[in-house]
Amino acid sequence: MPAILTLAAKDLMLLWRDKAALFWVFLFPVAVAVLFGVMFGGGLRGVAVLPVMLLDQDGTPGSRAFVKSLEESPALKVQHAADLEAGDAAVRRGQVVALLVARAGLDKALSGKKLDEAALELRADPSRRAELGVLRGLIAEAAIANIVVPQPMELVPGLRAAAGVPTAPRLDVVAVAGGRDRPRTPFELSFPAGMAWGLIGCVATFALSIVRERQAGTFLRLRAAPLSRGDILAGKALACWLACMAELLLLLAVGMLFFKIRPGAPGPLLAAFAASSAGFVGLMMLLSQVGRGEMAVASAGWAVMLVLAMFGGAMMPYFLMPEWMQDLGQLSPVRWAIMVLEGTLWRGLSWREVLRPCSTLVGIGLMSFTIGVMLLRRRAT
Amino acid sequence: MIRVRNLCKSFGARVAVEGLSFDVDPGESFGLLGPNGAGKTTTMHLLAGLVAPDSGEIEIANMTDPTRKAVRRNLGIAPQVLALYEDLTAEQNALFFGRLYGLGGAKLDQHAAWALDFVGLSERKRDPVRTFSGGMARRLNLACALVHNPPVLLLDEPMAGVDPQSRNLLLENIRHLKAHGRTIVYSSHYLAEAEQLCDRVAIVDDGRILALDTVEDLVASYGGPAQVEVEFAGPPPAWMGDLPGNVAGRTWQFQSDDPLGYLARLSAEGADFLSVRVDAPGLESVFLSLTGRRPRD
Ligand SMILES: Nc1ncnc2c1ncn2[C@@H]1O[C@H](COP(=O)(O)OP(=O)(O)OP(=O)(O)O)[C@@H](O)[C@H]1O
Ligand SMILES: [Mg+2]
Repeated sequence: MPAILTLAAKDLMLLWRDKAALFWVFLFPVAVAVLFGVMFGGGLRGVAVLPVMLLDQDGTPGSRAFVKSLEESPALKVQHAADLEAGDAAVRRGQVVALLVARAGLDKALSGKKLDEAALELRADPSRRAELGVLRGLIAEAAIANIVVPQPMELVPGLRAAAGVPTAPRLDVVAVAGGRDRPRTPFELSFPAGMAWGLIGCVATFALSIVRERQAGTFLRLRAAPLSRGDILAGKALACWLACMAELLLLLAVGMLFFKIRPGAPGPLLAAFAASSAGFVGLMMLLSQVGRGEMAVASAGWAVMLVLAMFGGAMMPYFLMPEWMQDLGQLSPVRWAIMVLEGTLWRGLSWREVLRPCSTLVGIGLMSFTIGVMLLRRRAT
Repeated sequence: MIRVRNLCKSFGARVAVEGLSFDVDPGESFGLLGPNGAGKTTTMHLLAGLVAPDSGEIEIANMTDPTRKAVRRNLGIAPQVLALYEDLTAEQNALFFGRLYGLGGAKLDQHAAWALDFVGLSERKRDPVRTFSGGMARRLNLACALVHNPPVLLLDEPMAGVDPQSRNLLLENIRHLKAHGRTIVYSSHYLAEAEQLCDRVAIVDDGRILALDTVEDLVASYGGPAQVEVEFAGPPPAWMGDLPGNVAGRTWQFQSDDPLGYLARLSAEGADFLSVRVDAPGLESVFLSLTGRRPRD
């Protein structure tokens, strides 16, 4: 077995034996994810006003009237899309629930009272079922309001049906994959936060294991063995990274099995896991060098991590934080981890979109790792 | 096997090792004896390449730089601080350290089992080190230095904090290793063990070697005279006045490099002894006369 794997396997075995550390790395984050999720439960329900985008390709008086009646609906917040692409992008980003396209021929269909020929196209993420249901009703209302029908028929739907007037317009739904700006359940917010807490637990545990190893003298034996210092550090880093990954995967599994977490594409998700873990491995190395003794590292480590967690959105959802805190949060790796974890868990970020947060995390990891190793070098002469 | 020349190491303003030079032959066991802070551990760490010397040369197995992997494979070190993973079992510790030296498979299992058996820990090998007594942990500390079967052993106070029974066991272990051709560098406060174990001994203090020789020759040069106490059966002979020492009642105390000569003469003149006690000088007196201290002061 290569030396690095031997070293890493030993550290993972030690972690397995350390019940307190296991609690912080695995149980505590699950508890945070579940408890925060239950606590957030009340605050995120119900959407008062649905944001939608409209694109009028018909451009007739009839289509304009139809658009106008949608605009007047108190349940909608209507924006106008410049073109199909811009509208789709807004849907993908989650800015609007759907893009409603009035295709050419709408006027003709409406004035001909042929709702089933209505040229309407709804482009949306089909997973937002509840919101789309509401939207469908509103569109039908607006369409019907713009059909000129005899008075009695207007009042009694049964009569309309008898007269051969369809009760709802034809609506072609085009799925636009991806983006949402609001979580479906509070657990979609609490699980990324819980994951971040698990990463913090890993950092604390492994930073302490380095200090302990130095104090117990086993570090002496490692250094006396035919290994390079790089091997020793890489072994530690690998063990910490694997523990972080295990923690993230555990929370993912718990979330998927019991809390309806439905992650997007597996590729970007794994990239997010790997990069977050890498970022925190670097922090671990740095924190292990902030003090000499176990107490110093434990207290300084937790203090630093608490501040990073607070500003990074591990204590309350980022969007609820005051703006100045959000700005400072940019400096916290916790924030980047939560962002990329949320992004890949439910916002459906693409490969391209995870690139920036992932590389930021890896960058933070590399930088803090390097500083940590430099401090260690300076100490060991 | 080991050649050290003018080795110096300071930590800041504190000089730990100052101009150390010595050689250790293959198969020899070499003792570093000195009081606390003498520089024994620092010397061990310099030999193991754990700290870099400020100046001087180290040569082990004809290779100069002890940080080289090829040198390290030849060395087994049992550090003064217990270097063990408390939460792992004895066996897991031994296997882990063996793996670090590139052992694997059946060979690793075999070596680890041998090392644990050697120090008498086979029966406790599946217990976590946490549950071990001080003496057992010391023995495991030695076993972990042996797993990869190195020709050179650096044993830094392998008896520290161990009861006499465990000490005897360890002593037996180290003697056995020596009998099987290992080169051993051994540091200690315990002079009695050093007397039994070491072919040659260096008395160090303040980072310097004060004397270096076989135990016998050291005692001869620095041990001073033997202390003798004689109790006569009857009144002491009248001509006692010619002899050194004090006579009080029927007891005669004196110091001499040749106590047996005096006793033989007395006996030939017909003196009757009730008891005779001769305290021959040992390393303890060598130590005292060289450093002005007892080893654990
Ligand atoms: N890492 C270090 N930093 C500063 N000073 C040190 C360091 N290591 C050793 N020293 C100093 O070097 C001197 C020699 O220490 P060393 O540990 O080699 O002594 P020793 O002979 O092994 O003592 P002991 O019998 O107590 O184990 C001491 O004065 C000690 O304070
Ligand atoms: Mg020492």
